[in-house]
This record gives sequence, structure tokens and C-alpha cells, in this order.
Amino acid sequence: MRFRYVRILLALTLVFTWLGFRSYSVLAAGLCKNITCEGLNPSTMQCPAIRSGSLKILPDGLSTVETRKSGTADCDAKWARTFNKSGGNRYAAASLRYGCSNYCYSKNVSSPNPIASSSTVGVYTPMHAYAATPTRSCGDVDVTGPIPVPLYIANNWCTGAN
Amino acid sequence: MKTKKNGLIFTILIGLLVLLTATSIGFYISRPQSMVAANSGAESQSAYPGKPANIPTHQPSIKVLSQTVNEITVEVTSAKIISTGIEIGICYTTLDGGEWYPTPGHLFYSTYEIYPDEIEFTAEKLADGNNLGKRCALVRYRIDDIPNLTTPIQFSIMDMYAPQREMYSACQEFQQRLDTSPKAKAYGLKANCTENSDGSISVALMDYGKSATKEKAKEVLDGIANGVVIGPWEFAITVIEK
Repeated sequence: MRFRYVRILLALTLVFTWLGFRSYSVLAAGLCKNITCEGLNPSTMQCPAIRSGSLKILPDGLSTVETRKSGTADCDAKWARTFNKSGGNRYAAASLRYGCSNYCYSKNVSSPNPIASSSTVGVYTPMHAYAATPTRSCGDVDVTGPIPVPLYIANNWCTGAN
Repeated sequence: MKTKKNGLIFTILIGLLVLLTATSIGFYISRPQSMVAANSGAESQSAYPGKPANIPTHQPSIKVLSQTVNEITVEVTSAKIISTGIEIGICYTTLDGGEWYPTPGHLFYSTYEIYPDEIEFTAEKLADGNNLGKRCALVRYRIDDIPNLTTPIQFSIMDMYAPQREMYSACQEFQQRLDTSPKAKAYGLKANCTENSDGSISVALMDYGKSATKEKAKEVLDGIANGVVIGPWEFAITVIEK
């Protein structure tokens, strides 16, 4: 009778320890999480991402900016990404705006040189911690540059709140 | 005396085991439990091989217009006037598990030409190597002078493109899309990928099945490596919901 309790407790310990390690190894993705991602490169940190909100098409009618979000089960962070799709080499910039009532803080990127028009490689800002943070993303592509950042908020080149 | 001592040791042992069990349960609970949440929005797939996944689309307010170019089918599922202009609903097939985006063309009506403003994605099923994927989106155009809007309006998608996702290197992106392409799977494509110093990739065909010629296999491989499918998909919309 006494040893029955010991066997049950040992079995429970083994099962839950195994389940814990299994869920960790299969499900966790990304090399940082929320506050430890602050200011880091989402690519270097291998953060899985989806769009957050709408994709904004910039005034040239082709280039785009969007907010990227890595969920709470992954990196739990956000950043902005701009694609130069203008058809020519352009300077490109992106700002992720957040905080205050008017998104007064930002994470920014501005290409030091013109980048080729590409639908596969864009520029993206460092990450801001917590995927639930209200943000707007602003983007710009230009023949002159580097483009000064942060980009100020305007409906013509910024996404809606997301 | 000996029995009392044994009893004490047994009680301590049970106590330690209870503590260990509670710790292991706590460890399990503290781990992330949802595979869907960790998988960046990937959804389950349709069971029909080679067919796009059957996902709900927008409530059709017009007769669905459909056009297939370069194996991608684009459907216009709705067109309506919104506070900022016009919103056009589309659904399109995706050839592999990449993050496929449409490039909307300019909107034409009467003598006007309008640039696209934004795209909101509404539904998604990823391709998985057996099934094509499908995505739905709302494409919005800003129009200030809505009362003077006349039909038909000419709407188009210029191309589809799959950007490199942040979590993958360029070759990992290529390999993920190769693995989830029903066509690559049907042709038994195997490839080597190398990353160039400028960030681009070079791919070499290593093997292909008997169902494909070398030319066809290479064409499919290059298509996956490029991540762009050129259209256009063009539609004349005559009914706009108000």
C-alpha cells in the first residue's frame, strides 16, 4: 500500500517533467522574449512573425510598409518593415511608432545607401517588446537620402493603429 | 524502534516525492501550450490534394469574377463603397507555404486613375505540399469624390510576391517554400541552395522525378527561388455595393 503511493508519485513526476520539456522544445520559437528582444534585430533573433493590421501602400503606389508581430508564444515583440518596390534604386526607411497618446516613441531604420527595388528583401526596424503594444508603422522610399528618421505620422505613409 | 525509524524515513521520502511531483507539474504548466499560437498563424489544411483549401470568403455582394494566370487564380468577391473610397475583396491561390502578397494595380474609371491605399488580409490557409494555399484580402482605394464614381471600374493585380520572412535565412526561406509546394512535391524536386554575399541565393537542381522534364523541373525551381509570379489579373467591375 505504502509503495503504491511512491510509484504513483514517481510516475506523475516523470510524466509532467517529460511533458514540460516536450512543450518547450517543440513550441518555443525565437531567441529572445518580450523585454529581452527590445532593440534587437528580429532576423538575428529568428522571430516568427505575422502582419499586424493592414499593409500600407506608400505614395508611389507600389512600395509598402507594415507592422510585423511575433506572438506571445514566440518573441512577443513588434517591428516595422518597408519594401522598396518602386522599380528603381531608392533610399528606404521605416519607423515603428508607439507610446504616449500620439505614438511619441519610435524604433527606426534608414538605409545608408539606395537599395534595389525588390519584393523579397526589405528594411526593418529593431524590435519593441510586447506584441500587445499599440503601434503605427510609417515608411518612406526616396531618390535622395539617407532619409531622416523618425518618420512623422501621416495617413499617407503610415498604417492605421494596430 | 526499527519500525518507527523506517516510518520516519518513509514519511520524509513521500514528502520529497510530493514536492518533486508538484515542481514537475509547475514546470509543465509554465511552458507554452499552444502550437497554433507558436506557429505564426498557420491554420489546418484542406484534405483535398492539389486543390486550394476551402476557407470562408467575404459575403459575395457581386457575381464573383475569376481569372487564372500563371497557375494562380484570383477572385473578386466583393466591391463596395466605404467612408474613404472603395474596398475590393479578393481571394487568391498560393503556390507554396510562403507569405504571398498581391501588388494591386491602379484603379481606373471614367478619366480617373487612383493609386491603391492599403490591404487588409482577412483569411489564410497555407499550402502544405499536398494542397495549394488560399488567401483573402480587402484592397482599399482612397476616393474623395465618391458621388462622381462611375462604373465599370478597372481593377487589377499586377503580381504576387513572397518576401523573405525574418525568422528564416534566404536559403531557409527557399527550402521552406520548396517543401510546401505541391508542384515541387509532385515533380520530386531536390535542390541545393547557396547564399551569395549580396543576400541573393543561387539554387541548383539536384534531382527530379520521372513525371517532369529537366526543363520543367528547372522552371518550377526558378519560380520558387524568385518568389514572384507576374500577372496581371484584370477585372472590370460593374456592380458596387453602397
